[in-house]
Amino acid sequence: MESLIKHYNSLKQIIFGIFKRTVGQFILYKVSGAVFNMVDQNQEHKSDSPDLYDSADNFNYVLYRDRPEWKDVQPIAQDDGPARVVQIAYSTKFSDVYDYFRAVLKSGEKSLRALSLVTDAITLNPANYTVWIYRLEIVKHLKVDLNNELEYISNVIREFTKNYQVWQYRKTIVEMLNDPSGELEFTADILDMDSKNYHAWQYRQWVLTTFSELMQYELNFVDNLISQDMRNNSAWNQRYFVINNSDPDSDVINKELEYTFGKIRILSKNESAWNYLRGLLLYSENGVLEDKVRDFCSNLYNKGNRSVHLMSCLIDLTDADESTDPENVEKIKFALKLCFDLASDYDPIRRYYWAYISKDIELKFNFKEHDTKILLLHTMSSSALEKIPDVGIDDKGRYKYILIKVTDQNDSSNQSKYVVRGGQRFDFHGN
Amino acid sequence: MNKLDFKFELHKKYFRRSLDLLPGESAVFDYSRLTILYFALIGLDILDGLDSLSEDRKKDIIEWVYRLQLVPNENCSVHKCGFMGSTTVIHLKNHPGSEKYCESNVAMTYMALCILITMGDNLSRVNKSAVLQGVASLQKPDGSFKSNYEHGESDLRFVYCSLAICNILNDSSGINVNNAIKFISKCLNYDGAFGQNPGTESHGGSTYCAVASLSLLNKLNLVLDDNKSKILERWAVNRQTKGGFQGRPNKEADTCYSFWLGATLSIMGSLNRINSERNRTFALHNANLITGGFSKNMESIPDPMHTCLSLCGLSLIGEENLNPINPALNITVRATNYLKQIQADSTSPNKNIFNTDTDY
Repeated sequence: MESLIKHYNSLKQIIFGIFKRTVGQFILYKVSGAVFNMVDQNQEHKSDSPDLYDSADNFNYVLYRDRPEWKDVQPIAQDDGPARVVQIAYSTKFSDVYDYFRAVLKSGEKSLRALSLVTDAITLNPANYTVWIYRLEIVKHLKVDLNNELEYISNVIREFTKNYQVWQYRKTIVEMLNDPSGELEFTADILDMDSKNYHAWQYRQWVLTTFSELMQYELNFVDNLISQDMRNNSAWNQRYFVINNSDPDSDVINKELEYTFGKIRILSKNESAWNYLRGLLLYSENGVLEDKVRDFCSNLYNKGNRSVHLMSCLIDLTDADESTDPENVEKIKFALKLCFDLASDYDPIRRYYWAYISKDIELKFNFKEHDTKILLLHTMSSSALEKIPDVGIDDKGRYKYILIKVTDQNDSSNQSKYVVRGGQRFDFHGN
Repeated sequence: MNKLDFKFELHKKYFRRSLDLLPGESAVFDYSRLTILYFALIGLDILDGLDSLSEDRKKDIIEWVYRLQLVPNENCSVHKCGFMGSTTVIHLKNHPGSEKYCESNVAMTYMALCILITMGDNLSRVNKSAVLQGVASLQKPDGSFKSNYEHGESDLRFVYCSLAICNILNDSSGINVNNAIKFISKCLNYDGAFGQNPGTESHGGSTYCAVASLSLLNKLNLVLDDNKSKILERWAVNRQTKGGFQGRPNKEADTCYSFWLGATLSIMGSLNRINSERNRTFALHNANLITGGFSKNMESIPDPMHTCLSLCGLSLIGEENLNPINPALNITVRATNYLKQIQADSTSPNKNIFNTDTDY
């Protein structure tokens, strides 16, 4: 412990050293956050319980061990065994609450005071699912009004929106109440804080599946979210969830297709809408929808749109077409050109991917001769081959030069280059 | 291009600090301290830094992990067996009537086994049959697995952990593999990737769990035919944005997805289709050069999970001097080879190291 404190303190000095030299403020913020977190808890260890006074809310907080009404309970310290591994420098408050929680769990006490203890334990660590299990036991035992419990869990979720246990507990309470009337509004509230909160969406889907009469309002809700932010992938997923669950006929799918076209026309770089389009094609029969999508895409492309997703979609439509008619040759050429354009201009971060797709199309259609081959070596700024110096010759002495052909085993393109070496470390060799 | 340096010693120190003591803010991990141990040790192994732990320290770690094991007795039925994530309620281990509150968690059991293998323990003290029965009792009729027996939630994360345990212990006879595969298929979405549960949004983490699970079962092609593989591969390479990977479309990049998506692509044999240089640069930009460790992005501070998974991501793309990892189990190849060796020993007739009759 002592050495750790020393270690952190020396780090602290490093930070201040940097501060004096005024290195970029941003980096300083990042670094000091990491270090001071550690420093602070050490100070906490030295004095007894400064963490009790870290905010106004806690000013009047009394430790359980100092509460007269808990005098009859013997707290149980955490038994970590002889080895000290991944220890946590618990605050005094944390240890105190959990020492009493351990005692209550052992005695099985299910009382009002136990409920309030459990509430504190949850606030300190909502990820402890055993505390939640015990809370439920107490709630059932005391026959606590479940509506109050629902209100309680609403408040906890508002504070810990991305914790698994809180949503799980809400599910249990709503199941017991068998009343989902407030659930859509509640999840909408949470999604208003972060419209991509995975927990909230997962829970909302459970509500809609369990109480299916609520599904009828969902498309409206999704519409609103997509209008607010067309890039909200979670909302698009929810749209698919609703449509897919409604056993849609071709009219519904066609309407969805038009809806998606509309959104793509406004924001053609939005991957979420293009992915949704791919999902709609799963409903296609006899290629009817593919034709519509192809027309839509060609139209956009001809107007000069070069969205990466538009180009990808055009490649996929060609790739899916198995025919080897002469007229398809032009399409294949076009798809290969699209790959080339993506690799070189529109999507260079994925140039290896597009090179692979291009090669794949070449092989599939046995199409070797074309002028849009993607040569990766020119664009690879730091390929393994380029890392190797072309020439390496010692400063002093007389040597025969060695010419070496180098290939990268990990690179499927079979590129190679010649390098020259000469120096004392090489053995003599006969010609 | 400006080459970023990799600070081996600094990151090893970061992990060694995490192994010793964590700040009070980490109290939210109180119930899953084993996960921090897992990330620190797998990370150290990738850095080839396990030698920096003394033999006594390694022994301490192994003993600490074994203490978290629940074995069947009159106060613990076999369906609660496996490993707990922490010592928080360990005082109830042999206490009558406390079964409900003292139970294993399948994610913790998976990580405990990975830690033991990484530490060179031959798993001889793992009650193999109890662990496997514990896992089996978590499977639901839809094929998915719960995290723990009492009110545990179920999704692809726990399917993966369950299948990984069966793979490590070399026995999946107790679970319904076909149902598990059915569940995984139901999580496959319209965009070609996997959500946590049927219908939920595709996500890098759940996609990894699905693909790694199928690969552990040797059933990747059963769920992902050529066409589906191609669509998933597109979805996965599209997650690379500004160098790093995002977990879902239109979200910000985060270092941990260099592992979740990197490993997914690696298992599928498509990792060479990403832009490794830019991915490397993104990870190294998120290394903290004073405290060591990696953060999820420039706005965060380092944590053991993002540090370990950043290293896993870097190892996958062949960062020099990092030990290679087994993407499906997420332990090093070195540890995997050791596992294969102890698995082979256990099947030889005279040398059953998975002894289930050991007296505890």
